[in-house]
Amino acid sequence: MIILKYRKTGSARYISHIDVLRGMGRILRRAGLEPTFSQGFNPHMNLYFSPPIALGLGSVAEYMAVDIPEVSPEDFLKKYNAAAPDGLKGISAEYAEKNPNFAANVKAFVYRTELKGSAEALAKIEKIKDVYNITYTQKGETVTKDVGALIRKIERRGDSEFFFTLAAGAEVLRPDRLLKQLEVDFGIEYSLPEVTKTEQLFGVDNPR
Amino acid sequence: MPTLEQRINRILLNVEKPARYTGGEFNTPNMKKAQAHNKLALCFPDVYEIGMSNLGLSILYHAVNALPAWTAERCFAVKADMAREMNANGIPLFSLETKTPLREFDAIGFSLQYELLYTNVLYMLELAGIPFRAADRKNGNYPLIIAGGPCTVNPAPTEAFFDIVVVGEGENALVALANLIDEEKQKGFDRERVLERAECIQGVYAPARAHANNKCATSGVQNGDKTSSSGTRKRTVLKAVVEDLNGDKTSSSGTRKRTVLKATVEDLNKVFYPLKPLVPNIEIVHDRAVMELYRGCGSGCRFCQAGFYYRPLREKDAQTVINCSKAMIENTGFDELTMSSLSSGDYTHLLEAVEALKDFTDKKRVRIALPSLRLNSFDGRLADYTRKSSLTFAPEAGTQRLRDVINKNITDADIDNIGAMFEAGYRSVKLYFMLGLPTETDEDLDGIAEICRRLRALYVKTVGRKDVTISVSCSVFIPKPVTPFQWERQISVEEMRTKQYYLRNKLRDIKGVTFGWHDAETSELESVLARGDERLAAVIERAYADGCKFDGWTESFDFAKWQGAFQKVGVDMGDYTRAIPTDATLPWDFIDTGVDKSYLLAEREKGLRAEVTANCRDGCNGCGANKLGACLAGKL
Repeated sequence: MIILKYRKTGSARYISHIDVLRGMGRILRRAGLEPTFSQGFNPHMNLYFSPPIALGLGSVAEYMAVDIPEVSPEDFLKKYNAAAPDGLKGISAEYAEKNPNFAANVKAFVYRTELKGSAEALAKIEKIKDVYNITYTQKGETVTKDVGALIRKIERRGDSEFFFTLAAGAEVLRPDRLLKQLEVDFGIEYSLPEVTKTEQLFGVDNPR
Repeated sequence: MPTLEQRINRILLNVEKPARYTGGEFNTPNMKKAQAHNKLALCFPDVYEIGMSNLGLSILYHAVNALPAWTAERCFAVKADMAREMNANGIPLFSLETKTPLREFDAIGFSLQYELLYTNVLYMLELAGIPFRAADRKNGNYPLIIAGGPCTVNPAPTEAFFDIVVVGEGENALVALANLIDEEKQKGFDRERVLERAECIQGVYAPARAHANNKCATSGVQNGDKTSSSGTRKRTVLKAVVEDLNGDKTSSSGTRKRTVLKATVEDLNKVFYPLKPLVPNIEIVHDRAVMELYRGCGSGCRFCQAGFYYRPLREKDAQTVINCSKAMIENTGFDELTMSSLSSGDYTHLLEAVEALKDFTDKKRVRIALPSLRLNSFDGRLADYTRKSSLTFAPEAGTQRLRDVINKNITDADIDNIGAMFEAGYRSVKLYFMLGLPTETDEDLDGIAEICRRLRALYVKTVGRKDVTISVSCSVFIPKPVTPFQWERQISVEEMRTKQYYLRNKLRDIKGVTFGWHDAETSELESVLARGDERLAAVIERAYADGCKFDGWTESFDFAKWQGAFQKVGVDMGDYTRAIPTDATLPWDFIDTGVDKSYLLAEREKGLRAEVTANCRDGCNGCGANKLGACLAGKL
């Protein structure tokens, strides 16, 4: 099993998860990499992905586990990158004993974004703790929810660069919903297409 | 100021399937070539998923991008949600590759794949901020607007919108046109001179100059096809022939247009073929590598426009097909390879090519798809190489008599040939028929039900089970230009519905059969636009202004609006659906496809007598197309 860490940037941000799955099969075939296939009437490559990222967000920390014999991580990365489009280039590759089951083990995602606003507003955002209510619409209904516990960490670097560590896994806080609320509460500005997932934090079976 | 790309990114999350509008596919050619100072936008007037499935567009895109002086970019019709966002944010229609407004291109090519896309051309022009009519673009430094694709076989209804119409196979003609534009730009672009010179390229028609003097004979023909040296002579000879025909009777312009000879590629082994096609990031309609096997068709089905329009019959060699197929799979990673042409089973080297590819495709886990097989061309051995899911065949008519009328040379015995496929493991058959064919009676519809019954019995007998599914799909016959049936009447919407209802009842009692049919109203409009003349430009404009677009999509087609547009402009649809006297001058008579009008007429008469014409592969039937190049490289 090879675990590939790859990015999803530029125009690739707009490719849905299911289309990334299909695209990966094509990249591997172009690369001359030969993963094992499932059995059955419609055999498919044995590929396992970290949880889907929302359409439009960038990432430099997506993961794919590939069941493939007889190839070193170095070789895999080199061949993969020669066949991958710009927006889906590989960052690193390593061995794993078995399928790491990303979805079951993921605990949080870290998102990087620029926020523009008054010094006072940005300082307040930095200090959000414990209780924070957000309001959003889901399936046509307006939902208000305290997500304080789902915000694991807010880190500010320099004036405007923020890193939000948000819960993932069993309970998820979507960055677009949080940012929308910050806009309402603090009058800050941000650009969703420029939000990037920079890390995925895993639990005990952390594959990284 | 944010760039156009940044402004586009801000609206992308508000629309469905944003990847339709982003570009970024693997194998996108270099858009920053040092010497590329000319830009062509290739527009497909339907959505991304459909346009990206078109082989012609792929060929032209990569052929022009192979020219050092040019880059070609793509643009598709945007869905209503995207159009709303673009309009609200002042974003003009843009190209996918570099996000450049269409208005800034040197030339824009529209692919006219079928008649119901005509309003979408206006839709795209409007989003791009470009006037519809060529006459309104003379001043203002607008891009040259070019049309190509099968609908240019009858340019009359849309020619007012285009500066240049390319008739026939576009790859060499478009490259010649691109070279000419490049040359003229360096001298100081003069639109009139470009049109005048462009006319000398085989296949090029400049509507504004339809009646002007043509100087090609003296200035020398620039034939796009480098393998041909006889372009000048052909044009002169054909012109003389056409001028012998009867005087003008139907054209609203009063005088005859200069004859335009269709562009034809002579050697399919030497012609450009894209071995690094784009790999779409979202699922498209035909999401696979496409290998073209041959052009033209020897079957001579009398309703089929493609079968006559793409003559002469020219094949690629087995080795070309094998090499190109392998290269495409290696360059794209597609898991399916389709062997494409008008009737794949007729390809001389099909079994040889498929057998030679087997080891490669097995190792790569690639499926080979064989569409457009005719019943009588199916070789049971081929079943071993393709996926055993569903078979598709087109008997087109239910009785031997009607199949003889339309020259679909399939016998009942051929239909029994399907037994070989049942043995090979297929469990599902799709059958295509046409309703409203000339001379059709209820008996012919009964025949369709009879075929289903026979196939089911055959399956039960061969396989010993009853789990076969037969899906019957009925389209509506439309008399199309340059076919032997081009003079026939279009059946009315009411008659069509009666037939569909009748057949539905007949099929209802047969187990495992599903029935689907094509809408009669869209077919009626398609028929009118297909055989239309210059008067229809105003109707198309009116219909678009009244809200018609994406007319090929059931959910957006609005027949009442179209009827209203005809009424407002004062044009009777009936003028175009009724039978046309065979001695009338047709709006497309000035297009020379190579096939003689007298041949079409003779075929029509044979058809009405239920006499068949053999496949061209069995010997030349003398349609005339071989003056454009020998069929099967002279092996007939």
